[in-house]
Amino acid sequence: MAVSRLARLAAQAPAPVYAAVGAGAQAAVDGLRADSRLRFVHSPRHATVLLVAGAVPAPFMPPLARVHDQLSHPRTTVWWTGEDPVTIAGLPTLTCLSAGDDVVARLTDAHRDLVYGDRATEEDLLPDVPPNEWRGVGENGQGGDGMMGGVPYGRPMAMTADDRDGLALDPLSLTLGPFLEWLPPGLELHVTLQGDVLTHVELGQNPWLQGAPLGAPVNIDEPLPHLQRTRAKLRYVARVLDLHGLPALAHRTYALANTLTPESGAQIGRLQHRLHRTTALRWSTKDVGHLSSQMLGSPGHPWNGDAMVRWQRAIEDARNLITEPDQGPGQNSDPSPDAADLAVLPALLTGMEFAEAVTTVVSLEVAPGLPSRLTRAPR
Amino acid sequence: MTGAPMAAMAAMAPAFATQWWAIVAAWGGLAFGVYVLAVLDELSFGVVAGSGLRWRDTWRMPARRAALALSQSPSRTERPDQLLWILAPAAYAGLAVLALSTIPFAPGFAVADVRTGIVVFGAAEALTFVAVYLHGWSSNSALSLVGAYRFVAQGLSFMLVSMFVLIAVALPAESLSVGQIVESQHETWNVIRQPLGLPLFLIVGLGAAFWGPMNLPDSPDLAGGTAAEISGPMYLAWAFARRCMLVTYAAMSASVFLGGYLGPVLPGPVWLGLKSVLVMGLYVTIGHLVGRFRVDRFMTHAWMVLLPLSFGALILAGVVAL
Repeated sequence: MAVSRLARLAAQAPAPVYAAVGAGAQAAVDGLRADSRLRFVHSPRHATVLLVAGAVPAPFMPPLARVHDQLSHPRTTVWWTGEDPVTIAGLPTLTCLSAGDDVVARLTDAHRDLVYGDRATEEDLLPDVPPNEWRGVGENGQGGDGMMGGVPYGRPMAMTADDRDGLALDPLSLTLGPFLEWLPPGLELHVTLQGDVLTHVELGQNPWLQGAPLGAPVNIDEPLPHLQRTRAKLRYVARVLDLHGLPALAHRTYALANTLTPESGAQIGRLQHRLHRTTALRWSTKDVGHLSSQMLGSPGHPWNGDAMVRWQRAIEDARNLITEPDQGPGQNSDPSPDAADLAVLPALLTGMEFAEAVTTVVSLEVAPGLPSRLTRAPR
Repeated sequence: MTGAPMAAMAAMAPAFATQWWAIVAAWGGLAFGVYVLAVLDELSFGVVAGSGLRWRDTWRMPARRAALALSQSPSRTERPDQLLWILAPAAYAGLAVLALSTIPFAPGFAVADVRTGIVVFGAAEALTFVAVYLHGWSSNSALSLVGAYRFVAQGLSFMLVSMFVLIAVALPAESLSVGQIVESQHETWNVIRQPLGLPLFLIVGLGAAFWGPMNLPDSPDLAGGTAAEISGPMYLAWAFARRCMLVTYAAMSASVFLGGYLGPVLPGPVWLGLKSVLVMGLYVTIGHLVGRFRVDRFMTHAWMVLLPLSFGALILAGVVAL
């Protein structure tokens, strides 16, 4: 089939992928972020390939369908599970990848097939109709009960309310998540925004913990567990950088995490030195999202302090861990954060501006990715 | 018509003459500048990310990404304001072209080197509020609207700084025309006479084109912000418009601080191009090395530090001019 010049050029661009991260897959997806053949985008509308990684339990399938329908045509879905293949009614061209597959090659192949037209674009999974019907009475939808004349599409009219700055902006209720980039995978936040400010925050469904790494068997007797923990800390720092406007440094950190050896201490030290000199990142994270030991319930909790302290501590730990290989797999001094710890979020985030809230949530390292933790289904 | 009204009209005639090929050069230079900026961005990303320069890939990458954007289809949201959604990138690019039209490429060779060039530039700068706000508002999406308001918040903070800096460079030239400002730099460039001006104007340029540390409207924490709901040709148009604005600011910085088309041996437009590329290089380097500012911190800093600094620079320039 004759391929147009435009399609050839488009196929050579890095494949835009939106990652919907499921159970046990954050580390695996982070391992792909340093590959220059892929470009992980922040909005599903910029992607051609939806990468679903890990297990997605039934309560999260409708949100996943909504994310899928937001991708712009041509689009396809690639599901990266560690185990049995998955089929979804309505997605006949769904590609399933298992642990041993070359994921990057399959993603770029899927992208190229879409652009060349060799693979058909996927149709919408959900019907394109408003969630609630029009409630008016007249033929143009006018009229109805009450002062506002009905509740069109199930949405009450925007009314003003008192707020922090005296602007009396109208409150908007939203659900953020569960496949949003800056939230821990699977976390839903029901928020009420007045302008930029979160006036009410509720946790939705609880996330699962990041358990065994996808694509690699769980090996409790792994000879270099400290490397795995260093890798997890570096990936956490890279995520903080990515979401604070430093994508190039984030790419560098993800690449460093992928190529980590016991001799990488100097490179981590150089990265730490560079990050300590960045004023803007320290500005953005200082005094944001302060958590004290009273709120967390234990003095040595890894979430202590503000956002700046947390990421600085993480890179310091990464540098120390790599030079201390004598810690065995059973000696795990710092308590790992738990899904139950996320209960501090509503009180912490209420009253914050949106950017501060994102900085706070991103700075909370939810899953160090220790091999001894199990994957837990949401409550 | 009698002699007196004709003489009066001649007196009111503009002090420049638009050559049609200046318009062609402006559009061509802008398109070329946008591509050069995109290549510089890729190069800078490669250097900072540690993946190296990779020349063969880098100079073709903007074309590939543009082709990819064209191969995707535009998105639909629920009840957007479709007309304004399409007009917003056109308006933003149009304002960039409007601002570029005041900049001369060679002595006497400009699209519209009006006597009040700085004022026209400032007017274009102020109207960017409308374009960016409409882009965020039209898609009828919550996070895009937050991005739109962020631009208004950050923009209000640096507009005054921009005006003071530009008036300060107009003082030695005793004229608001960009051509006269360039001509006034025959002995020394303004970057040497007014050292605070270029750093402040770099921040202004990054802010008006919301690039790098000032990319609050389209930031990743809003899932792309005003650009969250666009794809396909609309995405390409918006990306093009943003880069047009940055190229215009680079050309303006080069003209009012680095001497514009002045320079030995090479023709004027080449000098202007080289100096603009230098400023573009500064923009992309800052973009990749400096993280995103927080809007409230930046606003406080802009009103408490940058504005007094720019006012101080203006007073100093005034004293020197006297």
